Amino acid sequence: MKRKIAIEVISFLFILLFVYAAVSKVLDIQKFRVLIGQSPVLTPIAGFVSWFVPAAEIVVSLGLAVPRWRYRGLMGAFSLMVMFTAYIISILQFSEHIPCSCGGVLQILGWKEHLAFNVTFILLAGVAIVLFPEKELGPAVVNHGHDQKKRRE
Amino acid sequence: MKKNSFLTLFLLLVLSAGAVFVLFTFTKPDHSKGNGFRRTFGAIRTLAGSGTLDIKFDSYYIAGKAGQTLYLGNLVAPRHLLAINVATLDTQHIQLRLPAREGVAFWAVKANVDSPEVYLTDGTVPVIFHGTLREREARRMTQKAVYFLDLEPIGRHSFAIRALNSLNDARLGKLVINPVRPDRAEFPPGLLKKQVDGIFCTEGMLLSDPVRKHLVYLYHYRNEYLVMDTTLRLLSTWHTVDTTTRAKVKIATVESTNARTFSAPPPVVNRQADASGSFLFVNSALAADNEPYEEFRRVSVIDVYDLNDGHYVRSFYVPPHDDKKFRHFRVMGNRLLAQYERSVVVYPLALLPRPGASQRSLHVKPGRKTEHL
Repeated sequence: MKRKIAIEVISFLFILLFVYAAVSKVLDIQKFRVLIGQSPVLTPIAGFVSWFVPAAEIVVSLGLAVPRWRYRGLMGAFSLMVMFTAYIISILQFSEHIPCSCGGVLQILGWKEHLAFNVTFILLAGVAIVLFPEKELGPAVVNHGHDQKKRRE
Repeated sequence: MKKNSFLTLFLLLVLSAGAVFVLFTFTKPDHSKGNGFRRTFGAIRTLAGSGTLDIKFDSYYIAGKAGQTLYLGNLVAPRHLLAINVATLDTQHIQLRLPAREGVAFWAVKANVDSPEVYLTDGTVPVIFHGTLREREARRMTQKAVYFLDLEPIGRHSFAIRALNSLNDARLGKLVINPVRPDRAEFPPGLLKKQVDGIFCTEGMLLSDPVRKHLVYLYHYRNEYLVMDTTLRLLSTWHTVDTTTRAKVKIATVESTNARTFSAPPPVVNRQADASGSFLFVNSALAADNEPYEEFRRVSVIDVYDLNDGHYVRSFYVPPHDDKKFRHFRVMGNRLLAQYERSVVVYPLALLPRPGASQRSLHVKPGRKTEHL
């Protein structure tokens, strides 16, 4: 029972985070596309990224909201957070030009906080996936398991 | 079916991080080709520091230089100045007083030391406070008249400024503050040349040496600098060593706020610069064909130009400190001062050409006198 509550709370936090993030992007998607273009690695695919990221956030939130799809939603949430975090680390590490829209955040403290925030959410998603009761995995994941078995054979 | 969550998490982690890694690999600019120009180095390619000063905060910027003193301003504490004696590395904290009840909303205050004068300026208000290093009391000296993007003192009550005109094109002008008459700004035509949008494509650095033989404007995004006298009369237009004659900035308008901004990372040519004596020192962002990129991305390259004839003299490297490149630098006599995240490092400049030294041959015209830098 406690498990179930923990998973529900974590899912709710992710829905809050992703819906907020997606809505704030979609409300001014033209501005978001311009800002994405300022990133040294995203310039050529700014158009794609500017709708893919909010779309992925909304799809994952929907998945988390429906119990039947929650496990898949958690996997999506985990993957998205890993991708965002990997992106931040790489751009701070390897890029000469850092887009000015993160100007304020880039002061060492802000950067650490941002990273800690992301890592916390990655851990939360991880915990929820580990705790997830096996019998409620949902249809899609069972298929996924089948595929893996076949490959192993 | 058995659930293996740790395997799932591991696979997701590898796939997601891998996707980002692939993205970075594919969009990485190709540095193997170089940029179509060559640099000349002296006997010593990389400077060696002779002293380091811990400045404790990363919010400092260079506010001015005079004689043996380097002045740092602080973005977080705008009235605070740190004076550094570059020979002894002794420091002195200076706190400027502003008149009480001076109800000014600052956005971007910058201190500018033109010893013994000190100016606190904010071109977005716009306002200029004036004080002296001795009195340390700053008084408002402007009416709300001329907005500016950039400002460099060129006389006791006059400044070179970069400001927008009514068409939102940036231009260079001279601002004269007169206690009895209204502030006056003059913009001689034909200084900044618009190539793309008129604001971003002409961005650059206004520089002058305290000795003030010249006023220099070096563009950020093209290989060009203007040498002017202190009345802003254009003396000459010279080019830096690279090949970027046209600014390659891409501009977009954010429709909701009607704000113009970059739509792609701006390809910077000239990052930082300083004028000292009749020489211009430029920290370029572009690697030459004869430089290994792995080394180039670690260090900060400085190209030296002669302001009298626009000649490229030579280049040298300023090494990183704590694995980071410097943020700002100044050349003071035979020293280069580099400000890093939380420290200032002194580099002696003895490797630069001296009169009669064997190094002088390469890029110096025969029979020309080489100055000691």
